[in-house]
Amino acid sequence: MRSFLRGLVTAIAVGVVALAMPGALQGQAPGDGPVYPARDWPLAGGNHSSSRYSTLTDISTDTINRLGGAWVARLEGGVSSRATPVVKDGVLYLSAGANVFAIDARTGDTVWRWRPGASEEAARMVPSWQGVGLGDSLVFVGLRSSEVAALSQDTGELAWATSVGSVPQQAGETVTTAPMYAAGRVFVGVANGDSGGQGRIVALDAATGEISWTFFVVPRPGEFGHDTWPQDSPIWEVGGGGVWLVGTVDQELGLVYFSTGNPVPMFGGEIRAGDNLFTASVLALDMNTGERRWHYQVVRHDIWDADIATPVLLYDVDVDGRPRKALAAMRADGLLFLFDRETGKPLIPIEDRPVPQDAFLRTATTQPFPVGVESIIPDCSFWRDRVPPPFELSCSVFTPPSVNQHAVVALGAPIPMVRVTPMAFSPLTGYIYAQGRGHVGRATRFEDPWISDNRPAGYDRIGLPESSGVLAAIDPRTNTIVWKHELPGGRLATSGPLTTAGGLVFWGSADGQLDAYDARTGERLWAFQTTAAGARLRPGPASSYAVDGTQYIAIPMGSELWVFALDGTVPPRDEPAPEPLSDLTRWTGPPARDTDEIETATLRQNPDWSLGGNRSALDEHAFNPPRAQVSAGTRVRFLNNGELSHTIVARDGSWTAGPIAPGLFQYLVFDTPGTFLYHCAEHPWAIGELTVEP
Amino acid sequence: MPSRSHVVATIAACVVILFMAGNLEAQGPANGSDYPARDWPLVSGNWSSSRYSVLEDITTATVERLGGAWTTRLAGGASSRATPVVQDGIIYLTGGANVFAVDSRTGETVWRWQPGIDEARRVPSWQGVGLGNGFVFVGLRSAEVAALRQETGELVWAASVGSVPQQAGESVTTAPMYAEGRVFVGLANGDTGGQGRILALDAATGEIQWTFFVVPRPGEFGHETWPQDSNTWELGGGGVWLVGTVDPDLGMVYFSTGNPVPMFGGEIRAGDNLFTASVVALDIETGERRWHYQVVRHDVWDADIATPLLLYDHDVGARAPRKALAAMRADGYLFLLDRETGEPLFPIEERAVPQDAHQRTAATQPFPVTGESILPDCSYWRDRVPPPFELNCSGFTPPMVNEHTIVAPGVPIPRVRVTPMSFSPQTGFIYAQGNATVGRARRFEDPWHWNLDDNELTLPDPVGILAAVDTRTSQVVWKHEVPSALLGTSGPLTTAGGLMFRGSAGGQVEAYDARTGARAWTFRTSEAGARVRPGPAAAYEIDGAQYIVIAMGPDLWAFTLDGTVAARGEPVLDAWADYERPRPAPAETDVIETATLIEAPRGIAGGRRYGFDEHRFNPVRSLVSAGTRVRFVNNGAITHTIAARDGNWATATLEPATTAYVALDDPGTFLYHCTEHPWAIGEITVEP
Repeated sequence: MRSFLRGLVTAIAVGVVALAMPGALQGQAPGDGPVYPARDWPLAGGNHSSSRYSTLTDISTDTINRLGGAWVARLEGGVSSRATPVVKDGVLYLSAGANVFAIDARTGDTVWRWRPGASEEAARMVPSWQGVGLGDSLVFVGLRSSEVAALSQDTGELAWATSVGSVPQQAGETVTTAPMYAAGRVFVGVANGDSGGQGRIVALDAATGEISWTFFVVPRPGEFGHDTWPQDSPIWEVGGGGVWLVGTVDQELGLVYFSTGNPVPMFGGEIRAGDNLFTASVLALDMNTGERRWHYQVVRHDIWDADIATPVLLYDVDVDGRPRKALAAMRADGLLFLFDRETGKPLIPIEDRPVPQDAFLRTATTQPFPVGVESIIPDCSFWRDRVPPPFELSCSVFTPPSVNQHAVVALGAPIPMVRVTPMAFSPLTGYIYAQGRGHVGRATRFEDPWISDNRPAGYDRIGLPESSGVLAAIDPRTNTIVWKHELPGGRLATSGPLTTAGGLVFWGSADGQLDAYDARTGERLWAFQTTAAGARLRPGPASSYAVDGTQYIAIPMGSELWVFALDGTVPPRDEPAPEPLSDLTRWTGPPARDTDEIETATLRQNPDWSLGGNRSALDEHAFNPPRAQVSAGTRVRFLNNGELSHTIVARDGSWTAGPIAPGLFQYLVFDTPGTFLYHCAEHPWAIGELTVEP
Repeated sequence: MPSRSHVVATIAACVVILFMAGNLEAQGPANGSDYPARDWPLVSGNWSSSRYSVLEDITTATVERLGGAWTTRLAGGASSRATPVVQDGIIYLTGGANVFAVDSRTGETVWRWQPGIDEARRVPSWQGVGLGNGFVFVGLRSAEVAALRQETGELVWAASVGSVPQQAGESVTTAPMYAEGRVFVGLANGDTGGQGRILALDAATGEIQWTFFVVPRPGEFGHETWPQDSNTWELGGGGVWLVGTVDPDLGMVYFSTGNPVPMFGGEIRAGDNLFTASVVALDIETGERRWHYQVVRHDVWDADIATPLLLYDHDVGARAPRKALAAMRADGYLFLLDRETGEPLFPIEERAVPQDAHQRTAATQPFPVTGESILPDCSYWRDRVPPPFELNCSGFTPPMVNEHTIVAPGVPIPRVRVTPMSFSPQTGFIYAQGNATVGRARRFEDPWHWNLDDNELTLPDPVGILAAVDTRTSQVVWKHEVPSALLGTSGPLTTAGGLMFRGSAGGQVEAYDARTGARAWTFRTSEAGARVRPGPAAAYEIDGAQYIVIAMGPDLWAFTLDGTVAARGEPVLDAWADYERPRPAPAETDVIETATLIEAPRGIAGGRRYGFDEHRFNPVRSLVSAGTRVRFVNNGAITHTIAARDGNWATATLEPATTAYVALDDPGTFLYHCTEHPWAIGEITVEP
């Protein structure tokens, strides 16, 4: 009875929308969710399915060489944006810094700008960097105050703001998802599990901001899944499972879908035995009640910070001649999981495979693997010849981080890097486009289960190969990668692909370039440099819209919003980067530091906002700084600030210092310019780099 | 062998006397053997560090006429804590990165020396300069000694007296002591990884004549007081921070030495750790050790002998006076020794002290039997230490890793430090100052960690002491208690006028009756409420008038009878009146963590060290506005329950990594603590 009723309600809702659409075509254009967007782009994912596909065809593989800058606007107040621009009726909306901007889509002129007030309370109302959602003549935006706000589309005036987190707010709770509007409701997630909140999925009444329902990602006592947490501790209360990314909606099925983040503490598996539902999962909820209809956990008992860190994507596909409503979720290791989105049944067989075990960390015995599916990021064979001794490559992405193993390096350790950027689906090619970063790193952690070891990327990766960025097209019908580009990890950015009916894939890179690829072949057809060479920025995902019959591509490039059209006349700021981008040697870690003192141990500190507060540990296997820079003739002091004895040796054997007992030091003079590596003889995985400048 | 060097020393002394006689007119009575009169050629006045002037214009009878003769602001905004030295109408002192020569009549700058742009490490020691041979000698942060031409300030020579090349932290902080064609200096800084040294240089050329290593090297006497199976001795410490003294008749130089290293890590340096915290008497010609006396064995308290030694003639009644040496231990006890032999003048007994097997504490420590510390004894603290803290009165309480409530005088670091003493032959008293503290006897597990956390909320204020000790009885004759924050770094100066002069951190120059301790005169050099670090005063004569000169922060002040430069405020005669304990400012925050990462200061031996204190709130002092929800976060590994001391609120028991919110609505300042660890105390100020 319940399912009958629910089905009925859903069918009626879909009917209402379908009726409303034809009449609204003139005023509102198609694209308020259920269909692929055309003139407007009203949601960060383009539509309810997060297809990120535009039906506009002016700009095509044939015309792409005429594409040029239509206008560029510097965002007011010098702020930067990583948001997907959304567009409706000739106005473009995006969040940037502490602002929401409405911008004339024809000219780039600011129509209005909303900012939080000056009061301490209001100052926390910083909009999410992921952008806004449109519906009901309102602009919906998630705020750092763990509120959702609705602004008038016309004026930017605040219509309502509703807290969707704890009342009063718990530290770190925030709404980062771009709100998803559907059928009079706004759907958002609550992050931030990592700083002590608990993930939630919340539906609000779009008109009033009233909360319709809340789904708690970590089940409370008595709820389904609570038994996947320890029953003898309150650890589930800080369980994590933040909901970071925009959800998707299938109004016909009456379901909303969200992906969830890692459990907490990130690496401290020992204090949260069990699968830890519904972390690292796909959740399908009844859009009217918030009841769970199905779920799929892609990582059990995650101890790798293995969020599903890309929005889930809905698409329709023929399987064995039958049309199926599908959902695609990309696991952090780059494997695509495809489900029937009505039932949650896998469209590709998934098998449970044994994974490396660590009794202390309570590792899950098996993890799911889609059979015959290829990851978009390089597999172990790519790394085998690149990982030098003393490191030993572990080929499992589920290699548990260890307190005592220092030489083991594993794929995706310590944190996998298919993250944040949305995917795209082209009904034209049937392909799913995605990006990610492949890397190997040391599978280490500290004894304190709460230390998240949030070292900067590449910090301890001297002597290990550079990461490899990938932009790939996957055919979900065959589960194969149709094409892919490998590029230096440092060039990969936060801009997910956009695909269009013109047969193109658009994609922004961290060096300020917008590239267009042939969606079918992957051939790069066009590239446009929006900054001077050498710049580094964090572009947002692109979107596409039409005004006055002209198709535009819009993309935030740091502090500028760039818009392109055929025969646009704003010139590029530099030559595009050459292809192929085979140089994988570029350093992506922190720069070398000018110093004449190198310590054998380094303090690791949790960031301030971490759950569990400021925590720190001394890493006796990491030089501080890891990369030092001196001028020729400098006497460098190697200082043992730890409790073990260390002997420092040049990798080329040209010098040795020590053994240096705890508290003692040794001087070495460096006369010959160059850059070289050294390591600790007793702990050869501790590697430092020294640059001697002439 | 020793007697032969004695002969040599005697001859040398004669040569100097002959030399001096011919120059009396030009150079004044600059013989370091005498008490200074017209000139004040050494920071301590003479070779004995008497800090006593024979000038007697300014007396107990005339002191009320004392007024400002002139005041001058040091060029470049530099501050000085140096003792001014004076010769032939010119004052020399260090201030900031400068050496200044100043006209002693007018205060006008005669010359100013600064290190060149490419020799930025050549920063002069804050302790001042020495004079001799027509040169101004100064110790530098580059571990060099430099000689400047007295007339022009031109650099004549600079000689490195430390490791070549310099080791991190090595520095010459002692004011150079000139005697008989030689310059004697010490090398610090043990705490940053150097080893203390004492050196003699040829005053004319800067050539090093001998070096004495404070920490004996393998095969040398005393090396066996260090572990034989480790190289900890290489860092051993024993920095020589303070000016030495010379007895040319005995042919000896005397220096006091600093703490061993690591400061609190006794467990990795078993043994007495000679010659740290010691008096060393060296042959003036060869640098050979003639005798030594270690006042703290196996120091685990940073217990440097942190005042310069003082030589005096010890009155034994009818017989000829004995050549004596006074050293003040960091706990305020005066050790009076025969400076020829090192024998105690008063009985010293070995007393059992608290033991800590892990830290290899020495079984006993020496105590002068009849001596009296200038610092208050334990009875002073008994009623002032509140629960849950327990006062340990035994002295030499070792800092411990797992004890949190034990409070003892002089831990973790005793505070009779740096300021020189003074001896008046008129009274036979030694004048000295120091701070008395009680602190928690704690340390971190890491032997190299150097925790100077003294931000205690409920422990009593330290108290500053200014005292006179009768050398004949070793008893305190008079003393003043002043707020510790006002004590300052200016040691006493005594004069034949029966006076004792000092500067206070409150910006006052004060004169006391040397015999009774009664305050005779007070002069404000800065507005009320100012805080300065004055240097020790000196006395000199020009044009027949006696002057008292003292560096008061950025100003150099000179006083003379009927001086007309007015005071900058009304004198404060009762230092305790309106006194408020200076307290660190609270941090504006709405998050308080139960544990604090304590970073050892940078540059200390052993490199950057970290300790995680699970018994210390972070921040200890918080400032919030009324209505704030304060978040308490357990960022440690043990359980805590936070409760207001007045019982107004308490959190739930906080497991590791959990959080509790407390809303604070009522303005005021209150204390809270951890129920499980009540010695962990925090303070919140709620502002309206």
